[in-house]
Amino acid sequence: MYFLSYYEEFVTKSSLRRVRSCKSCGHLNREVFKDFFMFVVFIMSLITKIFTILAITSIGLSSCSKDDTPPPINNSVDLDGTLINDSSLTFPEKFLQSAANVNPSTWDLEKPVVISVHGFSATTFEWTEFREFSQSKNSCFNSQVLLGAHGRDYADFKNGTWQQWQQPIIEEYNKLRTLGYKKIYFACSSTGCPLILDIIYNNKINPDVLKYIFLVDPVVVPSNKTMTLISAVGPALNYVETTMEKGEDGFWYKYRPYEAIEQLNMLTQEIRKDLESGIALPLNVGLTVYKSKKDGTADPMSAVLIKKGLKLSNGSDIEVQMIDSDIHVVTRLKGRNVISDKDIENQKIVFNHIIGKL
Amino acid sequence: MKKGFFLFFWGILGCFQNSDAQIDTAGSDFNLGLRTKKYVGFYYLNGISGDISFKKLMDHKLHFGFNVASSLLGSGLGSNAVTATEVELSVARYYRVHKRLQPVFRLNVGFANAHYGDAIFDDLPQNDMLLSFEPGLCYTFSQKQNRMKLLLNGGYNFISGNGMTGLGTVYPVYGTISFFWKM
Repeated sequence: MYFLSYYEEFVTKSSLRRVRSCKSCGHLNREVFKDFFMFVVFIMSLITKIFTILAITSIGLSSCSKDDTPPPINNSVDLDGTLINDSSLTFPEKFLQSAANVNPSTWDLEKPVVISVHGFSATTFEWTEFREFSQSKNSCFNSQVLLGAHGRDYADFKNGTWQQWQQPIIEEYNKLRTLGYKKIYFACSSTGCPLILDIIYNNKINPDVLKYIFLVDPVVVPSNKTMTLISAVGPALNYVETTMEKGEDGFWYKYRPYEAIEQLNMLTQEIRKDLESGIALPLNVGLTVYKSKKDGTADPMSAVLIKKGLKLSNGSDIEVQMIDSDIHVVTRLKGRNVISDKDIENQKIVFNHIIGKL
Repeated sequence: MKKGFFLFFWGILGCFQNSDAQIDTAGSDFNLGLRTKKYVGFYYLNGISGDISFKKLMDHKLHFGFNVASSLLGSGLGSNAVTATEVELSVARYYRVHKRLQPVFRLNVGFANAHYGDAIFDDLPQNDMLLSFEPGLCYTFSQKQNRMKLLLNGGYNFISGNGMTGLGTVYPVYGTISFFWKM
């Protein structure tokens, strides 16, 4: 009602001015032009007022939000607390090939190294099963990278940017390359996938020893579409609590600060636009996408966007395998409440496919 | 290229500036125009929109219309974006119809289709129902001639894809701009 009365007042004044100045003017064009001009001025005036009201509202919301209220973290159980950290921070030599062997032999340098990258709010735990599988086959070395701002406490997670998440991937690749490894592979899950795509798109690494990239349930389009509204509603929410499955405590963040979700949203938006523009893989680098047909975290349409927007260096299509599954990250089964025979079979198929490509 | 297309898209309106047809102030009003829809955090969809209202039916306060929009004319133009097409029927309640600025509440029902372009995605949902609510404002440029009007709406889709069911191209919140010309 405020806007309407304001507009009425505005129009009345403007109409009076128009009648006084242009009584004989009956042409449609001039009238339309004047009306249009008046409309533009009115809209600008209206927008100014709307912004003022929005600013006052957001200040009010911010002051009412529980922004300073920390989540009820249980330090003895939750990764979010200050007592539990990802083990790779304490024992990097058990997780990173660059730390495990600083003087690799010629034979070592010829062996493939798979850098595995976990997803949002997760830890190196997400790729432990692949490590065990590949070690049983003695097919490759493993580097389980912990994303930046992950695996520590809530405050670190809250303050991290997606560029910081990405940094350890680049560092591990560069260390391995400097040590002389000649066959490096990336195996990424969930949010790890857009991170590696950004690295490729923006030439953040020298890809001369990069051989292949495996993307497991990549997130380009989130299943929860309201994530795009996080910047607007985030300050009032402060954080989002996640329902943990029985074996996930201590390996995933239970409380996801809205700032971190905002970073995830920024990353997925950026990659979606990059894919729309088109991304070409480096010379002689292949890529396979494994995507669940039903996924409550990464919309299966993510695979469509990657297939359409990502090409091999010669312009050919990349490989996409749509998996008959309804879980997010089909390669990680440990810690889940329910694991079906089909899930175990899917995991084995993907692991064998990856090993077959090395 | 996209900016050029949008300029062309809206520039078509310039063709109507010199038209001087008679106005039907009684009977029925039929409006046809261009519509731009932008999902918050996702695609632009462009297309056409039209509506009809009757003097005898609530004095032109109730409008029945349609929208057809596609990302092919929006985000998909010259890019790798998925082709998403939406067709809707709408009913709208206009208020203050004799004023220039008219509050509008619009309800749309329809369906959305996404074309993935590869047989391996045949198992993914490709069609979905649309049900949305759009509050907004309509501005009539000339009260006397009453030929052109601009409709600004915010919208909320009650049905959107969630990865398990539904179409991934349908997001919950969007904004639209429609430019109508009375036929």
